[in-house]
Amino acid sequence: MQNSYYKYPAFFSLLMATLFVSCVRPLKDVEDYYPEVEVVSYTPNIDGSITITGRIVSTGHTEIEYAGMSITSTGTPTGSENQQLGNLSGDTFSVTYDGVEDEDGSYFELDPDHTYFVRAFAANDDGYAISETFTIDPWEIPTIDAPCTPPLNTYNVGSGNVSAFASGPTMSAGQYQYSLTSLNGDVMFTMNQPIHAGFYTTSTEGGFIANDEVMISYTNFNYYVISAGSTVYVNETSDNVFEVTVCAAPFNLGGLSTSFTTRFVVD
Amino acid sequence: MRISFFILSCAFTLCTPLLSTGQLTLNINQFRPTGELGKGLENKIGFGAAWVQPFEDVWRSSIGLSFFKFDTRMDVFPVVGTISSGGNTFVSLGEQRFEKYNLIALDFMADYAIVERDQFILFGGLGIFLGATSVAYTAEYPEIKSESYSGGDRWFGLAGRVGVELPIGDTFAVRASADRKYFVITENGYYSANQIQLGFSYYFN
Repeated sequence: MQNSYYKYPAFFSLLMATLFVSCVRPLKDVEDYYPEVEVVSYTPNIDGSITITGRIVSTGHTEIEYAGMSITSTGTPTGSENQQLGNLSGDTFSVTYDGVEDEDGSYFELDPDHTYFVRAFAANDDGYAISETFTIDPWEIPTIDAPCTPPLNTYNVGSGNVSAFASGPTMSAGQYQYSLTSLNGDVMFTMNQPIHAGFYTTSTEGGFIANDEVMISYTNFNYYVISAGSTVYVNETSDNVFEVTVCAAPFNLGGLSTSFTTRFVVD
Repeated sequence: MRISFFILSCAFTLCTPLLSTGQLTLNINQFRPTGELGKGLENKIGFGAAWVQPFEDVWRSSIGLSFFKFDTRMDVFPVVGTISSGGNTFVSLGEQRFEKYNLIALDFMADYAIVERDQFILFGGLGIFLGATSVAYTAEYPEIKSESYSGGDRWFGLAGRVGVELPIGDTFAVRASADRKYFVITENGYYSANQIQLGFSYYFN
């Protein structure tokens, strides 16, 4: 006998709804819930830091919430040591390290003669994954090639090279100053921070110098400032020893258009 | 009228099972977690029993009890904790291990005989699903905390099923059904599961 179930629409409607609404099958492989991540590369920077790039191979079942790196100078990183989070750009992210803390909490600047170990991690709403260990072998700090190589520890304001004595830094009104001193006049490099490897741009705004700017002044009875917009090249030739090069930066020397060139070492 | 019949039948079934006519069914069940629950728990076979009233007109009620001892899909689940301080966020990459995840389930069902013949019954059922779990786990969140938990949750929700029953003479029957359950796990949210049930019944007259 086939019964008249149509007499009980509420019962069968609810039964159908219960049986067929929203059955979300679990993923066949439980690992598919979690992301997959790898360390792709590292780039040494001229200031001694390194930038490490990671890649999200798979986001897993949900969107990535966190991606980052962990680095150690010994042993295998677990994800907690020296952790830095990166910002995802597409499927890659980068973090920059200029030093690491050891197990005792002591901080050390990166040593390019040392080996470091890095792991990337990524977390979604279900959990996380961590990459295999990536080894950063000793590396060479890249150098900046200035377009000129004037004699070391000299400057030239348009009348020939002048030997000078380089010194610094001294502090003045919260700014760092490096000097070239000679019998023909003195040159002052004024910066907002201690000198570091990289490119600087000359500025004439002494009170508002940005972190990547330097004001160069020349004093020989009168005071002159090198025009804004010229490039200053700084290489760290050894630990905390910097070579500074300026190639033909224009300025006005008492109504005469001339240029300023120098190369000196300061520590 | 049908709702009151269902409620009264369940109450009668609960109160005087051994004094009424009905079937004692021994079941083999496969509980198949879906959705969020299926992420963590494997499908599991469990055993149970049910007391099933005979069809009166086209309706019958039943009460069933099952037990499941679940295995988790991973030995160690990778879990994440975060802590923020001074605008910086630290992500703790932790581990969670389950030592135990057991479930006792109770179903109160009302079945409707869609097709009823001497040797074959096709039925559909709706009812209430209740459960109680016993859970134990440990979790470690480096730099944040370690925790161990031993306790349980209560599950309650709705169950629907479709099944067939094949009487064997006047005394025995075999039954198969496919269930779908929607339930709340207290303080955790809404979950769902499927269940396949095979039963062997003995009629008490």
